[in-house]
Amino acid sequence: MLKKGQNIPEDTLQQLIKGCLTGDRSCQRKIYDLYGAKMMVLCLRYSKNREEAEEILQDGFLQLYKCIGQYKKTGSFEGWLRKIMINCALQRYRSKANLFRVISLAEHHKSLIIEEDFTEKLLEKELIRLIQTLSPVYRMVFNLYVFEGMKHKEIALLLDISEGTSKSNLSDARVILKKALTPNLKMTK
Amino acid sequence: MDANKPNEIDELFRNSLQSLADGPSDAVWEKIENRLDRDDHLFYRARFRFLLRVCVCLLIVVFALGILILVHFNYGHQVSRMATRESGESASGLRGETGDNHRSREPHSFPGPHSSEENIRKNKLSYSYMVIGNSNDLASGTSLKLQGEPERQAAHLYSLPSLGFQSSEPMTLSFRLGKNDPPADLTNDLKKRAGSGHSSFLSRLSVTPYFSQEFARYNLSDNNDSTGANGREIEKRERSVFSASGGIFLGYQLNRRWTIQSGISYSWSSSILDPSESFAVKDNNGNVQFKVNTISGYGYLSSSSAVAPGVGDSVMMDRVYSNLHYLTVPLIASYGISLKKFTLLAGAGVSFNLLTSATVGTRILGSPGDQLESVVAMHGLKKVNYGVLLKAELQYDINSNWGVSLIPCFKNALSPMNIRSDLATSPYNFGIGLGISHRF
Repeated sequence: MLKKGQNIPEDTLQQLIKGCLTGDRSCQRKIYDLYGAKMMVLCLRYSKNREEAEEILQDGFLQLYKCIGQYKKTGSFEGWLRKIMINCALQRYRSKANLFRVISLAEHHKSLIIEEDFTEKLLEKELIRLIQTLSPVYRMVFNLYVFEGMKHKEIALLLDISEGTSKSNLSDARVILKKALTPNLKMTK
Repeated sequence: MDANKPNEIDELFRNSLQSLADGPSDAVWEKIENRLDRDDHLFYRARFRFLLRVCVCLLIVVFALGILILVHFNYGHQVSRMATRESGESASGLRGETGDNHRSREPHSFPGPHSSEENIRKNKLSYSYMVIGNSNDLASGTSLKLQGEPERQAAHLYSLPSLGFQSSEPMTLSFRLGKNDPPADLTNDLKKRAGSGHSSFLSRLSVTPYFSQEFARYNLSDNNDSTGANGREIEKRERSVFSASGGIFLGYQLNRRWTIQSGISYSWSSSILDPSESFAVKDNNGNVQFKVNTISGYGYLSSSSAVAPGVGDSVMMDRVYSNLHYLTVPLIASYGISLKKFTLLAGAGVSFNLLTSATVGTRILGSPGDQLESVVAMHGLKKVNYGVLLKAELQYDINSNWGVSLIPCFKNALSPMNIRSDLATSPYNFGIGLGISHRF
């Protein structure tokens, strides 16, 4: 029995992929069970709340089942699935105009300070919540740079912004996150 | 802070979240499953539609072939029937065999030896139900040689069309008329009659100018799953306000029952979208403009503001008017039933639709020049599309040449009218028209 987060034997994975290609619902469900939780965290990082993250996850898995035949066995399946999820998140980001709204740092600090349920211990989920409070463009740049290891040039191309803007956005995102974290870090000491 | 160097914040987030897993709610899989089921359903429906279209096309081809075969069969049958009827006559008359046995074989075919010219002409009329012959034969010098008494010659000549004088053999047509014998110019008369093939062609033609009010609807399917909701949203907001077509039908009667119709028509439809928000995107040329989506296609509107919009900026649009104009050529096979002065033609066929113009017009609210309506070209539409057409025509004959027609009609596109769009739109419409028919 395969469990979430467990490394999947290659032949099992191939069987599941074959099943997905024929539209076998049980294979699709198994793939979802295996990778759903990991991908959910990725989606949470790229979205402003859980609802939006679940929508991205849903789109991502639908996209996966649609084009699973295009999967080349050269790289890891999980890596390929991550790319699909990130693309879905970026597509959503591009389709929403108000994401470009620029929020001042002060506004950010205010929104972070009023978080009352921020406990002394920095839970991982709280870190995600912090990322979610960033403005969309900051969140995108921060995620792509920190978690996906992309260069500013690549980020600029993906988000249709200049390289300088990407650097500036990353810097601003770090400042916001650091300022949000500092009082809590002090409290935990 | 140098963004390219390792950063403590980056490390903190990366290390904490790299291996984190958080299960989504059960509702997510339910939604995915529903979407997969719907996609499967759409896939099978699309395959069914495709097969249906293939069947319709095959039916039309078989139908057209059937008509052709039927027409040729009738033609051949009539030729052979006439050839059989006149075999004796051709043996006696055309080969110069005289004798009264004509009358004994075909008592009504030829006038007797003492018939007058009037009788001959009467007799001619009785044979004029079909003209089989080739006027070119006459023109090119093919002729028939007749022998016997002048009146009998004349009788033969008048009855020639009914004999079916097609011949690949060169023949000589000569007359030996007596001094007191009519008629004036039999050759000319014969030519006229041979040339009556043209009038026969015209007599089968009919012309029907018409105007039709139509009620347009659309079959929508999502090309892009992630934006399907947007498409449905557009569908809710858009409504057809006017749709009509006008043109001319040309009909050619193949036989008593079957008619082939074609012609040309110009159709136009207008629809309105409720006011909505529009976002700036890069157009096909890389310029940032506001995109206006409709069911049929999309248009790009430039802002009248001095400051160029950035990608993702939004504005509020007033009502959006969209207009589509098509030139249509139908090809219809119709089956006719006549009852006294009424004729009902029921037919099916295909239509070829050529897009002549597509525009969207609206005002950007709150902009400096928001009183002015901008009308721009609509993109994302196919230049040519095809459809199936079902048509009925109830004709009331005012006299032998003129009639009025009531024309209900149903059109359904065989393929989506748009390309490179989030939505695949297949229009269908029901129309009811009035026309005036003229038969030559």
